[in-house]
Amino acid sequence: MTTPARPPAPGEGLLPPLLLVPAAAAIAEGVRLDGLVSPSSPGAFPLIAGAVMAGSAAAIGARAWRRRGAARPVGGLAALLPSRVALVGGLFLAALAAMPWAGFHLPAFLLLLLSVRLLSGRGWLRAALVAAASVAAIHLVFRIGFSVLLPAGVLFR
Amino acid sequence: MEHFLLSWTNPSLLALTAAGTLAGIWIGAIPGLSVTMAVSILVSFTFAWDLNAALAVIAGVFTGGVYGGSRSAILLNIPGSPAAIATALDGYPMARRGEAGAAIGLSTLASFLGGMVGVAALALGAPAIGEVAILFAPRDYLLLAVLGILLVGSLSGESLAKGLFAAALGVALGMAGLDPMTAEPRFTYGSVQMLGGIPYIAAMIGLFGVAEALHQLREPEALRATQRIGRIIPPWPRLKRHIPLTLRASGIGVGIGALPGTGGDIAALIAYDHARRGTRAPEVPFGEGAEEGVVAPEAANNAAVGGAYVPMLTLGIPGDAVTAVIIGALFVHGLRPGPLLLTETPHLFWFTVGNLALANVFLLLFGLAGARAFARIAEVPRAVLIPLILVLCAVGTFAIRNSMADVAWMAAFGVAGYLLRLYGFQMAPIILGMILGPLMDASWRRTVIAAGDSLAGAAAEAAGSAISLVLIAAIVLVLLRAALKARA
Amino acid sequence: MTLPRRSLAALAALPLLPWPARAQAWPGRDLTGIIMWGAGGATDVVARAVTPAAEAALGARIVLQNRPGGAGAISTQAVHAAASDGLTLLYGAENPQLHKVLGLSQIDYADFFPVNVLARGVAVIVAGRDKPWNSLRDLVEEIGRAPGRLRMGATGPGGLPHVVGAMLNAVTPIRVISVPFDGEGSGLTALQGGHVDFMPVGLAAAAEHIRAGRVKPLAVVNPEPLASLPGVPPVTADFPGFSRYLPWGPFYGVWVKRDVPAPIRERLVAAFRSAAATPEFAALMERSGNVLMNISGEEADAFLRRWQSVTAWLLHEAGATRRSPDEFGIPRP
Repeated sequence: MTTPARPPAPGEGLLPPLLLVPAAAAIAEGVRLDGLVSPSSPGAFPLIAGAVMAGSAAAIGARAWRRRGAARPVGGLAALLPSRVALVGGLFLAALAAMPWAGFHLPAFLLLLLSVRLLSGRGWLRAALVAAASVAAIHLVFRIGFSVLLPAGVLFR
Repeated sequence: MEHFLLSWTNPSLLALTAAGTLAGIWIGAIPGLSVTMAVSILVSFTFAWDLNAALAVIAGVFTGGVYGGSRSAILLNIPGSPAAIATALDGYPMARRGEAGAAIGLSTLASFLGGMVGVAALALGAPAIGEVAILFAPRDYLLLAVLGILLVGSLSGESLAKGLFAAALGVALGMAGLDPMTAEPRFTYGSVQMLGGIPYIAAMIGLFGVAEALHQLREPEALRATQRIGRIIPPWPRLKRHIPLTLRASGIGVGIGALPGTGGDIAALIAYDHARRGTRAPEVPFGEGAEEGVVAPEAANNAAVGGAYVPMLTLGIPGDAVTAVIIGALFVHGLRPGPLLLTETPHLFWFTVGNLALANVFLLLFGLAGARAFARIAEVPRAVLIPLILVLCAVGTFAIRNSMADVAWMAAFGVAGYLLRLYGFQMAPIILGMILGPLMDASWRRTVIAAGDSLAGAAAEAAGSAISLVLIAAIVLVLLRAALKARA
Repeated sequence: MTLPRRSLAALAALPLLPWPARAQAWPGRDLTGIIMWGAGGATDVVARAVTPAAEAALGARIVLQNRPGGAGAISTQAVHAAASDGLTLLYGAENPQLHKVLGLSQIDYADFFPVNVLARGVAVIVAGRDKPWNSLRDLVEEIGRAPGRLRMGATGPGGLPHVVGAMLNAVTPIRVISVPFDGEGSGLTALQGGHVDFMPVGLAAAAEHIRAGRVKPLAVVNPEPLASLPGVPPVTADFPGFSRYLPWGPFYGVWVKRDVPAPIRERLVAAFRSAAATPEFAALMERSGNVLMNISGEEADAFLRRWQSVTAWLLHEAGATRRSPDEFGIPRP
């Protein structure tokens, strides 16, 4: 059950306190919903879930404490979020954020164009062709083939 | 018998079943497009059609769709449907090892065999299975969910504590929204949108699809590499070894599929757990691409299709979400789906049995014929594939119920999943918690309420029921085995 | 090439035209129909059955989507947030009329124009087939002998079993354990498995199980007996006090936002009126134990207001509401 191969990631010591946040939220919700009053209340399971989260966060913390100094964390923020991941991830989130206004097609095209260009290191033309073909294929399969709606922007109604 | 063969001999019904199966495979493979959604669209679409034609397409879409989910699970680590979550656990590692072809081949054969077991159970034992299924009390659903949640033990990765945390987080996330039993909002913090809860498909797409895509970007060498596909049909001795497991998993699938409160997703998870605990010496460890880990869930989820038809055709009680829609379709087409359906329209029963069998044959045909073409996805350069996966994640999530809020959830799950994986958390327990949490919550409370808000009363009732005792014994057995293993 | 350009120019001029002229171009694109409950539910079946005929009458497609959640609050909010162009339809059931008093949402059917209230359901009180009771009075007497012991199948606050249970309790005080299930179907399944003893339920969900003799009907919640259930007495036969709540039942219909322009409303009303009048739809409603209504506009509004007033006050007096109907100006019945 234990595979200790993974070297600790940066900030592993901060993790257990952070894990207590959702645990506390679940416990608070459980108490608000009478989880302590009746076993059949809507709060019972949130309370149990919160307690399990808190308990396992404590266990994770204790284990990290025992292992402290055993191995140095590898790298800093760069190991957590290499620039390639940050860039493509950022593009993805930006495209999603644009969809309520700009609809699906344009942001999706730009996301594909920029990230394919970035990742493949080949020319713009090839990236543009791939992006255009992909968006067209998605439109065909989803909107026309399965008559599923795609996000529609308010700009180009 | 003539009705059994009707769709095999009538060219137009034959073609419709084939078309339905093929479309189903695609619908199943695309996350966000669900069989339930496709079938309910078909109800309007086939409004003016002959009933047999409508049922033929629906049976095809249902069978193909449940199978199709494994395709994207194996090739991309994105389960196309909840029933394929368990398949991704070992199917994707197989593909990364260069055995994408074998994984698809195995999943196709297991699905076919499982589907046929489901049809056989439907044909031979339907009335009896249906009567047993409705005897399952709320407490038995609770016990079944507990049996499922024990899977956390084998899905936790590096530490059990992290697995437990992830599962409990999933349970809490699954509670979000309006509590249907008291109309009390939970974790909504005043938002009306949140009353609808967080769809676990959005979580699944984020945690598996987006987080996996982002992680692959961390490996520069993977960007240029393409995967081998390998041979599709594994050699016979290897196949033969899996037959007993396939049959056991199919049995699990039929049983859980026939229960009105559970479907193929839970069946696949429990079958995976069964394979994991029951296989003494897998050639490859589970989680790293064990063939058993692909065979068991795929057999179970397709067997669950036949299982789901059992209470629907014998009692007019849907076995899962899809058969609920089919009951609606029968109403619209002028039938009276109910306990008398079997005696008043026996031809419908035999037509459905024959039709499902035919759909399974097409599944085998299309599955094996299309496997190589489909597996070419794995050969697309990652530099193109990863951005495309991200776009498909957005499209698929939006398709669930056309909500940008769900898309935002998907993105949040993607980012959180990416980070949690860096700290050694596994994604599967979160989804497991989201699926089983609401079932446990509702059936636990139903059990306690029915016993007059008394825990002792509920325990006494469980002690007096054969079904409950069997389930309790199964749970104790699993726990004992795990304890012995830990000591050894 | 002149034709597209001319239609483009017409499109550009559209916002300048007065409403009647614009209504002729309406709908111009596919309509969206948002269904309040999940696929396979009663609302879903009614919606999908009436829509093809309405599409034909309207000459436009209606793309249907299920958007369940929050006992319907998600769908009412979504339709309410859409543009008032009549292109987004709400296929709903009775639930929003209780959202205010249950504290779920501030939106109810007062914010929507009833294009058509298609049908209403009738409730029936059923018991397990091996139970010794043969009438509602037998059941009530048994409850009196063992208060707080019998189990009633329910579907959560504001659901049909809850409301009928509250009516029964108001007429003759009863004490039972109410076990909430996910829906009427799951409740009926539990009834047949012996996990609950009786359940008030919509006839649509129970009709086939009654016909097969798998559950026993004790009374129909209606002032008169039903032709489709011969031999089952009306609830008023044993308990005349029920009559002040009746007729009562769940209902299904189609709505658009109230501020949709009148010409568009009229086209929608005409389309759905003819769709609901087709023999196929009438036959479906009869088979499923519903009463075809096919009413719209002012007539439908009056029906909706009465339903809300009766039900909200009944639940309020039973202590099952979070806010008083008075707060929202809902008059006492």
